[in-house]
Amino acid sequence: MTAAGALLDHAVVDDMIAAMRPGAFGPILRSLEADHAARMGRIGVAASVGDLAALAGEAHDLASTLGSFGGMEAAGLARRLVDAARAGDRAAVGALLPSVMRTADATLAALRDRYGPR
Amino acid sequence: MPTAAKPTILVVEDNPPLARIYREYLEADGYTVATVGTGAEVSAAVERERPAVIVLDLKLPDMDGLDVLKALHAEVPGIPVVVATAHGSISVAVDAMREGAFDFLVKPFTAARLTVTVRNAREKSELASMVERYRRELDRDGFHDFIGASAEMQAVYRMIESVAPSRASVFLTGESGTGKELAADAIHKASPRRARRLVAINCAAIPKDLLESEIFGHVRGAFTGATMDREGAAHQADGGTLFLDEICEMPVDLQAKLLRFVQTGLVQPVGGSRQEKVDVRIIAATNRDPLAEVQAGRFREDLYYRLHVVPVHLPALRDREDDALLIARRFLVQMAAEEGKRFTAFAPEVEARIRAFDWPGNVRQLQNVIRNIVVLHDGTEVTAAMLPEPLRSGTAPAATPSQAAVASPGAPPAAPPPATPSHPPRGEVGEGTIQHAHARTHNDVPRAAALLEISPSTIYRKLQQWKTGDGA
Repeated sequence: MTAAGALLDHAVVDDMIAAMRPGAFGPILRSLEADHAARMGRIGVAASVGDLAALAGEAHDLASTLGSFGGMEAAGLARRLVDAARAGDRAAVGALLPSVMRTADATLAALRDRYGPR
Repeated sequence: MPTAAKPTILVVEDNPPLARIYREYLEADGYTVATVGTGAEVSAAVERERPAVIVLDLKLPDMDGLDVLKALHAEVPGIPVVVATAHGSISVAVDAMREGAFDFLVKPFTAARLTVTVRNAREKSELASMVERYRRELDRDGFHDFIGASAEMQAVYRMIESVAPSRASVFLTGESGTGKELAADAIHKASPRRARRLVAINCAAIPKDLLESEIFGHVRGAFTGATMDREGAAHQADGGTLFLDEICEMPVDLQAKLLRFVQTGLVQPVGGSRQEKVDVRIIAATNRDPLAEVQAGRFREDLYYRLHVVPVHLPALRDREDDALLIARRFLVQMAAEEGKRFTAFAPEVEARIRAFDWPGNVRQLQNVIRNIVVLHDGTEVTAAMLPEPLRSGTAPAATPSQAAVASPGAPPAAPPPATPSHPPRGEVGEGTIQHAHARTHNDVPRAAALLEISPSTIYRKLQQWKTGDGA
């Protein structure tokens, strides 16, 4: 729970919600959860078969998505993974991947805890 | 109360949560939003949605966003495209700007950044189309069959465009040769009545005793020679337009019948008892001052106010900036082609004289002068020596039409001076001149009119007046 503050930039999410019609954020969060689960699955597959191009693409989208929801730490890590994958640096990819996946999941959990249905 | 349709924004974004966020931001700002997730869907979506702005993610699953942008720029250059790109892809955004993107957004971006960018794109697009519309309207050098780029004619074109869609009566005024018939034709063609007929009646060219029958028709036996029923112009123009040229020449008793028709839309043929309703839009025209005719008691005031709903004045050629030269150049090319001649241009001195001349007979006179030159001369350039008097001497800018038409080198013998010792008023041709031209052309009124550079209807009107002793 203490990690939530560092994982999320609450101001980003609060501004986002303020710019939407009341009740609009709930369905978007559910959409994010579904998209996230699918994406993490594709990242796992790409990593297991060593498809760095696919991995770079998915990591790129992960950075954009979580960054838009205030997940700055996860977005930053995902961008480093993109760079490593595009550079063909398999060692760096192997080192970064677990922390990217862990931080991404934790970011989503923090979003759910703070903004999801009570 | 009806509300204006909300502008549509097309969002091209394959990431569902992000697409939903952008939709929310834009809908909250008053837009309708359409979304697609692939480049392949863009073209159909643009066709279907007619978006005001497109927000395009440059990273799409099926194709390069820059290729989508290029295709959009080629197919729908008027729709501004805002590209969205990830952090660290600035070089791609710069490429997109080079390909014609209006602006770029770096993800993640806020609601304000998106809505302000989209608003700016819309405003720029609207301004561009407004400028284009004004440029098109103000730079027009022609409209339907009119030729002319002057501010005076731009006002006429706009007036015709404004009045054409309605069924309001139009009253055209202007000197002979200014294009009243062209204006009536343009109004009809620009109107929803264009699929039906434009029927023109020249009130001066038809004997007074036949005019009622021409307009309203007659039944068999209505008068000597009426061997069968005949449909009049008002009936023929049902659903279309009835153009009554030289309306001020209409006899006063017939004006009363026309007034009744204008008020009720009911047609009663001469000699008939049955009335039939028709749907006709009326355009009237005169080269006189209609209000002066009302004041002189020659034109019914109530009819004047019925017809004078939308007045459109056709300016004299001398008041139309450089239009005389523009028209002369067009006529030269057109007539040279018709006559198999090589003329392509005027010498600078000739252009100066065309500009400086007063053109009392207006476009019709100019048309006849150019025809005269093309028929009687040859070469690639029209020189000052080819000009008929008084253009050639350049000394009498306020010449009468008859003077301008004759005395060109090699031209047919000129008409003699008018019977009256003094020149007729500007734009007027004397009885002697008309009678002489009429006789010389073996009573061919159109040819006599061309010779004198006046309207055939003017000759018909004058002949009728002289015949009935009404005076000129």
